[in-house]
Amino acid sequence: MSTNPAVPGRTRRLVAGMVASVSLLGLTAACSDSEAATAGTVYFGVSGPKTGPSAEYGRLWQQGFDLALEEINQNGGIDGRKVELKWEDSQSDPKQTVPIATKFVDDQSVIAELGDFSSPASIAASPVYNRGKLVQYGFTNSAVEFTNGGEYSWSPSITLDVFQERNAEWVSRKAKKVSVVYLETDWGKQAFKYFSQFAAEKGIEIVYSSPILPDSTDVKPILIKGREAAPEAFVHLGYGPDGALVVKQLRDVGFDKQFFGGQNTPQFITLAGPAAEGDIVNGIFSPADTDPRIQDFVGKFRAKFGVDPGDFNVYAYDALKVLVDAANHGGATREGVLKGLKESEFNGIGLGEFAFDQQSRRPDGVAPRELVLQNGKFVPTT
Amino acid sequence: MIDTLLAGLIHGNAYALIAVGITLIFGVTNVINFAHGAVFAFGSIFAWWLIAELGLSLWTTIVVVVAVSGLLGFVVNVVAVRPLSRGPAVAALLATVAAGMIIENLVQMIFGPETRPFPQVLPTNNFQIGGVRFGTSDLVMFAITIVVMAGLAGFLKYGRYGLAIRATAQDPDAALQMGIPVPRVQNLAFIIASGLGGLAGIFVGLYNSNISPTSGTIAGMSGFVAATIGGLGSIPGAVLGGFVLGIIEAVGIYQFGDGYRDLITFGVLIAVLVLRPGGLLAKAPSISSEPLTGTFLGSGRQIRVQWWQAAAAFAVVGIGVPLVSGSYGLVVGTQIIAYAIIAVSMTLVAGSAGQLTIGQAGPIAIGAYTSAILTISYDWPFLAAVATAALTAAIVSSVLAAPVWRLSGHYVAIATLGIGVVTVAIIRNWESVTRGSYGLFGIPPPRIFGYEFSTATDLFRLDLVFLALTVVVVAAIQRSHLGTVLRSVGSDEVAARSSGVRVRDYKALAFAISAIFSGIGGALLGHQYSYIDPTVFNLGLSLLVVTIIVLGGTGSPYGAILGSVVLIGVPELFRLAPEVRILLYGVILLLIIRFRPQGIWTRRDRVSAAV
Repeated sequence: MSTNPAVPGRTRRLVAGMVASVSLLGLTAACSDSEAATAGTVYFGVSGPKTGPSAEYGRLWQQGFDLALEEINQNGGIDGRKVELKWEDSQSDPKQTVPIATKFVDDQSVIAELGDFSSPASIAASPVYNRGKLVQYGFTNSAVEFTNGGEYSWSPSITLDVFQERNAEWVSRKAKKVSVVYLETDWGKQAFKYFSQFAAEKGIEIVYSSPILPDSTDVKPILIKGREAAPEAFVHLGYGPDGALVVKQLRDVGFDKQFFGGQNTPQFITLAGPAAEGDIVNGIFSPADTDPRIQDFVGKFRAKFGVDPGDFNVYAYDALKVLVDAANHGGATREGVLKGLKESEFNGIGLGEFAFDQQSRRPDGVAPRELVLQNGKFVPTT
Repeated sequence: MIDTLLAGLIHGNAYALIAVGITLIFGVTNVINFAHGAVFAFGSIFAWWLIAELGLSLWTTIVVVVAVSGLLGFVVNVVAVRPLSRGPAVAALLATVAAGMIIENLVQMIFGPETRPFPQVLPTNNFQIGGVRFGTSDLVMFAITIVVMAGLAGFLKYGRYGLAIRATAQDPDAALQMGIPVPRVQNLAFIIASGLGGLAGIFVGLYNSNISPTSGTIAGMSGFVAATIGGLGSIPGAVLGGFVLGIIEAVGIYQFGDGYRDLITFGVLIAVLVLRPGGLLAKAPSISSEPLTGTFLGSGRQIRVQWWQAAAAFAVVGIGVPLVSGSYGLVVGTQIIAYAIIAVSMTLVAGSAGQLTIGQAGPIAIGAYTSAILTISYDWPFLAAVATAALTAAIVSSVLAAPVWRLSGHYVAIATLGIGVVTVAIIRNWESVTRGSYGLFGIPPPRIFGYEFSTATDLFRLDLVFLALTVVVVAAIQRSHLGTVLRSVGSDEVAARSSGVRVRDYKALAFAISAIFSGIGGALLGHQYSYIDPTVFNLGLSLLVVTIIVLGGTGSPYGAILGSVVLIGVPELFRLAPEVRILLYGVILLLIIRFRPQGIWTRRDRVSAAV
């Protein structure tokens, strides 16, 4: 170690350490640029999972966004300006969405934000977006309280109460005694709460229920107990991978009756295989839909990615298009997007024609549809 | 009931196969290999790729996967574990965490993040007993477990290299002097264990039927719990532990539901450690084991800091950072400070008293929840809520951890890890108070005497004041008589006890003090996020704070602050490259641990430590 007699080594190190830490902070701050947003590219921020346990959904979003971006920019973007995304990996972790939100709010080139994937991750960041007056478009956040975050928190997602009212209705047509398993997350518990409420109204008896931890790989013990309660059907409230796990293990413990659950994603269908045949889910979209507009979308998606689109591709595709439509209506600024969301009418692949309710900041009067798994494809029941 | 037992037995078999690898490595190198889960997940995904994409047969796949996984284990040993064999044991442990992180992310990048079905190369449900179906795959897995167990046990007992492995496990230095090529033996152990990990990946993949690159964490933890239950270092113990864990879990989950799974798993772990510290089949660990965080022969001393230097630095940061930094930088800075508060106080436990605790998420969660609930539901003033949070965290954690302090070495780390998980599981299940998985929304910003700290700058400065207080208190304790006593416990427990120091009480005291500040740190985090739920306080959080103090040089409060700057700041810097962010983080972590196992805030001793 070379020594400078004027400055004792430890002091120099201390100063160096402090400089290093301050400059690290400065550097992180310097990442946010604040160019004026009047010309050039228009940016939307995406806060979503690229790594971690929910990375699969980030991948599905990316496909939807890519297709939407391609079409948007071919059609002249927003007032002739190119549209691009600034994607930040949040791992859908509420600890990380807050700094990301701050970053987007600071970055004046971002005119609206998309995401996050899970409702808690979005809700944690809502105060930052609302204080910063940047629209937070939580397009997969079905938790009812998400849009209570403030007048900048919007979601096209059908809320859980609506989903579960329909779900209970469809269950009641097939079974009067059911066993229920639900994901041990805010989403799963809320879904179960609404399902129980509507089940009671529709005369369904829940003979057994248990949560499932999101990282469980073996749920046979609860399925055995659920089977022993002699239900006429099994209901699963959760996502795709856990739904596939449940239905496969349900068949392994010898339950061969009706299953309601899983998710309308190609992943669920592949993972669950033949065990899920006849499964009934809530969906917003089926690639088998004969509507020419949907067939056009399915064709383009297939050409680009070689697979059928699922709900999460559609959510992302529609979300970006809605925000671009809003900006085209109100102007490519933060306030313009808000104005557009309030005033415009939209037409999505998933929801069809809709407008936002000004109080709830959710779509008015839309409902999910009943899809049944037949020959490895989810098709509408009617 | 028969059905449940059978389900538990089959699942336990999967645990047993994973546990064997973990216990083998622990036995030989005395390192808890946190990368084992990642190697296991790699085995699953790699086998999927070979079978589903390349169309290889199952048997070819087994050979290739075992070979490549073994190679991977060899690399982990050479790169991460072996160079640290003279460093503190915790450095090697954290190096395996970093290695696991790197492997997991590489697998995600190469093979994609999605969950995928494992090809049905063997029938998985062609038999039935009672109401449970199982398959040839399960029988083959069972046969493999038994063969592996018998083979390994026989090899260790009678084989030439087996003898060398056992000798190395007992005393590496003596083994080396007797002419045993210790490095080669340790390489061998890693290769065998990781090959088995890959093999487990294939059969557990078949059993689970759906696999994903991130499945390693939970599999590794369960295997680790099973190995500890059976007795770390014992091969038959690992198998027994696997089956015991599988059956207890199945019966418990059948009874109480899957929401209690982690509570059951880690509750069993703690119960075993308390009642039979060495596990079911191993001898109780002797007290003479070296302090885990290695203050004893540590090759570095912390760099001393004068109070005026610290005060000046705090003033510069408090005034300067808000001037040069945007609000994003301040938000990150505030997180850095909250973690620093937690880490600074942990230097008393890890640095002074020499006890590694990997369950700090427990007291952090208690602090965050107490303060959040008091301010949301009961309108308590901020300062009173934080003070109560600090006390609650200290009291509850101390009561839960009370039986731990008669353990030593790795067992303290393992037991506190369990307690951390159990604490958070209780919080999640105590829904009437904590709202469980729903989480707590709308935690108000701090308000003191009517002034609301809602801007980024205000919060940053407020937290900085808390950090300054923490440093003052911790530094004062370290300088005091109490600090000397704590250091004596950490340096040489036997000598301390011989001098009449009640080492258990002092360990507990150090832990209680650190829990106070962890509670404060947790409360501040909660008020900053405005939202908390139980998943915030996961094992990753516990490992993060341990990494922070190890990085800073376990004993130094200022080092802990620096560690926090690096470990919280760096991942934010890497946001520039989101795809490889976590990967780069793992690499940097590994490099720092590899080249500065004594921490950043230390310098080399002038007199080299004699062994």
